[in-house]
Amino acid sequence: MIQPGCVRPRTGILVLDFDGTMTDAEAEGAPFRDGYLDDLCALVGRRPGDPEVTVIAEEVEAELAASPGEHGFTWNGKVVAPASVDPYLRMVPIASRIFDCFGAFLDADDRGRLLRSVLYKYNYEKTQPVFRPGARALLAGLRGTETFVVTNSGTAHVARKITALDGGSGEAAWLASRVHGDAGKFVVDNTFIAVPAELPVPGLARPVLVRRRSYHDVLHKLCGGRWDQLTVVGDIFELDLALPLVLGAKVVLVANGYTPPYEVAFVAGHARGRVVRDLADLGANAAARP
Amino acid sequence: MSTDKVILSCALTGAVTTKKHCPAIPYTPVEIAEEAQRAYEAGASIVHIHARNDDGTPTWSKETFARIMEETRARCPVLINWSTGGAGPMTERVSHLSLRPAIAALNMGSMNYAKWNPAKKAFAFNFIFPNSFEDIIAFARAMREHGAKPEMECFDTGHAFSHTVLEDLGLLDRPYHFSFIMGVLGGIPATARHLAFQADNIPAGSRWKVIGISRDQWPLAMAALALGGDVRVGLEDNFYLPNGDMARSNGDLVAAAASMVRLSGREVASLDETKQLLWPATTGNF
Repeated sequence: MIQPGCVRPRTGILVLDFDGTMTDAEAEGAPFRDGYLDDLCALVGRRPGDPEVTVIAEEVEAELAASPGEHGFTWNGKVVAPASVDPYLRMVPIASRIFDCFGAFLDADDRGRLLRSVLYKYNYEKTQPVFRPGARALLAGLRGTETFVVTNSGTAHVARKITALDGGSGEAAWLASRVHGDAGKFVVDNTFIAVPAELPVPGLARPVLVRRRSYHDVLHKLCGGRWDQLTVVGDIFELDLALPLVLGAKVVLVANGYTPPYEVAFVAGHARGRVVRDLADLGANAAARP
Repeated sequence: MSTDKVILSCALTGAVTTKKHCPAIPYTPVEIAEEAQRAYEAGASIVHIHARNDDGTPTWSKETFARIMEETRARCPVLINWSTGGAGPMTERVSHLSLRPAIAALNMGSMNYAKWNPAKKAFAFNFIFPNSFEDIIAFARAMREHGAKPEMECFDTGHAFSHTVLEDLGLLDRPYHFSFIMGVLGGIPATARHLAFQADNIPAGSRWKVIGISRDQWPLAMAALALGGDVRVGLEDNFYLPNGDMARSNGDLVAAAASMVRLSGREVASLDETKQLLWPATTGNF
């Protein structure tokens, strides 16, 4: 059990990503993956669990795991995150490969709407919260601090998860009203010139795109531009941490088995970066910070 | 994508399945009207109706259709779409059009109509579904005479193209109204690829929807939503909700479809919006 005060930032603002950071994305995303694949089977005229579709999915998953830097998740034509890091991001390239193999939905716009919007949201609703060990204790220990959640998911959706995490004890419910959803971390906007357009990351052939105005605006609202007072915790460097790091914040990468090695190395090697493997380590690291 | 509004239709009862298959299947005019109300309140603006005798057997009795219309209109203003397809001579299947429904279904071609049981290596059913051009044209003339907008039911690609005959005869008003029925053995396969092909091969500005048979209805509905089409659900086509539970009413199925529409980022068309979308320059039987 984390002692009260152990993870409390002595001053400043703590921003947490939620899905994948406080939750076990792999366990939580299993119904999403299974349901999405069943729908794809139906859409290519096969039965659920079709062996050929399953093989294609497993091949793509293996490719993503073997070379995460080569497979990006695109948004509005730009690569904005690694496609390998959670079941939700992995499903889009899997689905695209399946549709390619079956000659389905060849129009890029139609395919994008079906795979990224309709099927994604529909199957996302099948997920149930599965929290990382230590999530409840961590959030309880942060009570009374300037801690917020900034997430790409919907505000109400994440607030419900926090309430579920609370389990009726009231320990984490305080955070439910501090969720800033639909943060648009995916959205790159090159008219936003307060930061350089690109951040080179050794081991990643493409640059990380940093100009994410929507995400910046949410963070700025929370910390008032005092970036040195801000700490951001997330599970995907490119999505959650690159922008705040460039702005001057401290960042903590909560890594899992799917985190690209280049992300781990980059954050671990940065003076304002930390890498943790579980949430108990996050508490210990935060406590150790001067 | 052609529009952000989605017209939801509900096929309330069909002519084949019974309460043994699904207890919510309505038989009597009152039951059908109550289901129409549930569908309307859940978001459907069109209900597709077959008539049945009180024991559930199908009928083309004009009196029964009249009672269904009366009971439905007493409960809600939903647009009524009569079936004209199925067993029985064409003369029997046309008389109820004189009741002036807003829409009438028009089967656009002949086909084998079957269901194969792979486990038994046998057909569950297997018959010829005859719809000659003579009958199609006669139905379209009757629909024009009585002011009903034809809903061209297309079970295959050739059926969709056959609309050109009706167009040439001046029997159709724009926007044309197509339905793509998918999942019947003998017709077009129920896949995203084939749905996209159908949608891509009708005149620009047409209104179209997908009618998926059985549980494949839901993935096909999602594909239609991505392609800009409309959606039909209902106990005639499928008993089951997306989570696998059997629907307790047509309203359950329409509510699930409406939820899917919202997830797609589009909006369910209201009754007035549906009228405007299907009859932008004219008025219909409503």
